[in-house]
This record gives sequence, C-alpha cells and structure tokens, in this order.
Amino acid sequence: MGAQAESRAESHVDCRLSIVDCRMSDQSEIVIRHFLAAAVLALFALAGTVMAGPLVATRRIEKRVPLGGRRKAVVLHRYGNVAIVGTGDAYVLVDALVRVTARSRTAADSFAERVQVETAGEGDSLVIATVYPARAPADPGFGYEVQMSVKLPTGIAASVRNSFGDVKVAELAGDCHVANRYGDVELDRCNRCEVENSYGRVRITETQGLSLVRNSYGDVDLRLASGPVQVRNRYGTVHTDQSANDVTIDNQFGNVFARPDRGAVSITNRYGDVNAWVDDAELAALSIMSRLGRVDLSLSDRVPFRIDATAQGGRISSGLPFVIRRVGEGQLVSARQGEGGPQIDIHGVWSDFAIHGDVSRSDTPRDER
Amino acid sequence: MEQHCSEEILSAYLDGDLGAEVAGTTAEHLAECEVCRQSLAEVRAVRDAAPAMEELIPPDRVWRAIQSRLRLRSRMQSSESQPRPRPQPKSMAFWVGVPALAATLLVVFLAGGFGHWIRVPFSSAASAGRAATPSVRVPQLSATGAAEETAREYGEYVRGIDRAIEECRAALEENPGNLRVRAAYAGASANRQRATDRFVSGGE
Repeated sequence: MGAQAESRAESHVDCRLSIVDCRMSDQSEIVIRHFLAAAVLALFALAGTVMAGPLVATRRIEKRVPLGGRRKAVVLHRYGNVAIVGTGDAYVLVDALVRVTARSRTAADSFAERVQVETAGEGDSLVIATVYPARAPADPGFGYEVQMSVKLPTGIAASVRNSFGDVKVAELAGDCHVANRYGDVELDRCNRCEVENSYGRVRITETQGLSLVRNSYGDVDLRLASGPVQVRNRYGTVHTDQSANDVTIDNQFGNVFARPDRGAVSITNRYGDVNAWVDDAELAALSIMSRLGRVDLSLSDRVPFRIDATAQGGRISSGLPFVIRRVGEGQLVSARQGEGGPQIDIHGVWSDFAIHGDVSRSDTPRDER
Repeated sequence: MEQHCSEEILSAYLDGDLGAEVAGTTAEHLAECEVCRQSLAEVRAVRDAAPAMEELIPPDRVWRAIQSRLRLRSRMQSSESQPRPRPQPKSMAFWVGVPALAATLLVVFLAGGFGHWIRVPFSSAASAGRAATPSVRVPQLSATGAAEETAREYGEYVRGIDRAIEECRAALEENPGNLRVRAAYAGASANRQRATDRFVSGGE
C-alpha cells in the first residue's frame, strides 16, 4: 500500500514536471516567435528605410541683427519661400528653416549644416543672403530649400530677389521691390511697391503708394489699392477691384476685369477680353483700348456718365437706349446719362463691344445701319 | 520589362495615355519594382506641385484670336469686292497654308512688323453730341502680314518658355530634388510641346 502510494506520488511529480516542461516549452516558443517577428519587422523597417528614398534633414537658423542706421533691407534668396513682415521692432529678425532631402542621412545633415544665412552691411543697405554650398552630392534625388521669414522695422525699404518660391510681404511702410521668377508674389498693406514676376501670380492688397507690376505667364490681382497702379502683364489675367486712384493696365493674351471706385482707369489689351464695371459716380474716367478682343462694359443706372465708343472692324451691342451708328467699317456710340460722372472712352480694332446696364434691363440691341 | 520605366512612361501612365497593353505591362512591372514605384511617387509629387504651372500655356483665346484675325483678314479682303462679307470656312488650304507660312516664318524667327497702318476717316459725324468727324488709325493686314505677326507673337511666347526651360534646367543641375524646380521644368516643357502642337494644328 505504502509502495503504491509512493509510486503514485512519484508519477504525480513526473506529471507535474512534464506539465512544467510543457509550459516552459510553450513560453520559449512564444519568446522565439516574438523575437522572430521583431526581427522581421526590423528588417522590413530597414528595407523600407533604404527603399523609401529621400531622408529629410532640417535645420533652423535664427538671427537678430541691428540695422545700424541703415534704411533698406535686401534679401537675396533662391530656393524656397520668403515672408517679410514689418514690425515695430528696431531689429531685423531672421528665421530660416533649411530643409534638405537626400538618400543618405549623412549627406543631408552635412549639406544642411553648410547652408548659411549671411547678413552684412553694404552702403545704406543690410543684405540678407542665403548661401548654399557650392557642391551638392551626386544624388538625383538630392534637393534643398530654405523657408525664410524676416521681420523688419516697418519704416525701412525692402528689396527681395527670389527664384523658386513664393514671396510674401506685409505691413511695410517703406518702399518695396520684389523680383521673383517661379512663384507667386503677395503684397499686403504695403506702401509703394514694384513687382517683377514671371511664371506666377501677383496679388496686391491695400497698397498706399504707387504700385508697379510687371508680370508674365501669370495672373495679377489688385484689391483696394489706394495709390496709383500700373500693370504690364502678358499671358495672364488682370483683376483690379475697388481701386481708389489711377489705374493703368497694359495686358496681352489675357483678360482684364476692372471694377474701379475712383481715379482714372486706362486699359490697353490685345488678344484678350476686357470686362469693366462702372458703378461709382466718383470714378473720374475709364479708357479702354482693345485689339482683337471683346469689351464687356456694365453701366449702373444710378451713375451719370458720358460714353464715346468706336469699334473698327467690330460690332457694338447694347441693351441701353443708345443709338449705334455704322460708320465706315465700324460702329460708333456717343451718349450720355445724366450730368457729370466719368467720361468713358472705348476704342477697339477688330473688337466687339457689349454695353449693358443693370441686369433687369432689356438687352435688345438697337442697331442703326 | 527589364529596364526601369522612364519618367515619360510614368507620366503617360498617370495620365492614362498608354495603350492597354503597355499600361498592363507597366502596371505589372510597377508591382514588382520598388525603384519604379518610387519614381512613380516622385512623378506624382511633382505633378501635385505643378498645378500652378498649368497656367503657362497660352489659353485657347490666344489661338482663337489668331483665328479670328485670319478670318477677319479674309472678311476684309472680301469686302473690297462683295457687298456683305462672310467669314471664310475653314478650308483645308486655309488651315494648311497659313500655319505653314507662319511656321516657316517662325523657324527663321523673322522680326516682322505689324502690317501697315493707314488712316481711315469715319464717313459721317458720329452723333448729335459730336460736332467733329473722328478719324482712327486702322491697321490693315495682308495674308503675309497676318502670318508674320502670328509667327512673331508665337515666337515671343515660345522664347519666354524656352528661357524658363533653360533656367530650370540649370537649377535642376544644382538642385535636382527640389520639387518646385522640377514642377517648373515639367510645366514649361509640357507647355512648350503643347504650344507647338497647337500652333502646328492651327489652334484647333
């Protein structure tokens, strides 16, 4: 009996041991499985990192530069956006974010470290220039840009030169000159400004002084200009809205939309349409010269005006009670509404005119042939 | 497909411009080739950064303007002999002859003038409000003049794009991975091609 009990106890212990062995075996397997899974994940991650392509290195450069009595800041940039804002500070604050993409982390870091933002006095100007290393690694995916933000004392003048990026300038009381190539230019609440741009849009809002814009292959948008505006544009559309001073637009291959409030507006356009609205009695004059384009003029019935329009080689249609005369190869309208108001002159060569009043009016033309 | 896909192929693949067979082969290759998938992602990224550059192409109105000029020229010539001119239909000779002449002029980049300007007075007083008879200068174009002007304007437009292409190419050499540069280059190149195609096809 005792032997049997002993034997039973031994077998019980064996059984327990085997259960423990089994449990240990299961745990080892789980650990191994986890290890393998982690290894596979690590391999995938490594492969992903290698195959994923460019790595990005960034570096921030901050500078606080005293003006030292200088009256102008010149920003020379090439790759990346430039944002300039006028502030009440007496210092120039530069905040540049360098961003480098490369297939090698070392190459990206090394290049980012060597990009510099130099500041130096030159005459009465403070020059802020982004300096890029002369040589980039031989990597077809290697790329870099610097997002530049500059805070200037609001009273000083600014000149910005950029190539591949946007330029934004805001709240600058001094003169502002922007030359850009492949990006948009935006000026907001500035004083006198001059913009030369290509292959991008120009937006100017609430300028106080003279605005000069020369643009190609992009649109120009002017809103609430208090100062006089001169625009020369090609291959793009020009919008001007709520201008309070003289506006001169010379455009080709694009449409012009003008809705001025005051001042004299002169539009010369070739190969595009001109759309103008006269709905403010304070407008001094509107002159449109069009060649091979359509002129669409909307006249408010609340605004007095005098209009003289000649369309050589074109037709005039009007829903207003104008007499349209045929003269030679063209048509002519000369009429007035009320006393005073703006003088409207339209001259077109091979251009059709549509002159109409409020939408509610009949738009049936009255032709005299 | 043993070699990697070119950017042109990938671009056409994204546009759906490849034929069914080539598109299928390309898709199979892309499924297997990480390098090409990466290239495709880059082409897509450049494309995403490029919409603004689409504005580079002269809009259809340019070509419509050229067409209307040519039609007008026909109308004016007809008006000399007929009481009521009508726009000429787009005959094959018209669309082949004039663009061909213009293209020839373009190739040699003639700096042509704007035709002849002559003074044509109005025949009568304009209205009761105007005492004097106005006179205006009216440009008159001959067929050669129209083609010359068309070629000159087209040439100016294209030269602008060519300058952009050169600038972007130089920028790509020093900064090949910059998306803005790549977008500008891709946009300018595509517009150059489209402009040429449209000009040769007479704006159709």
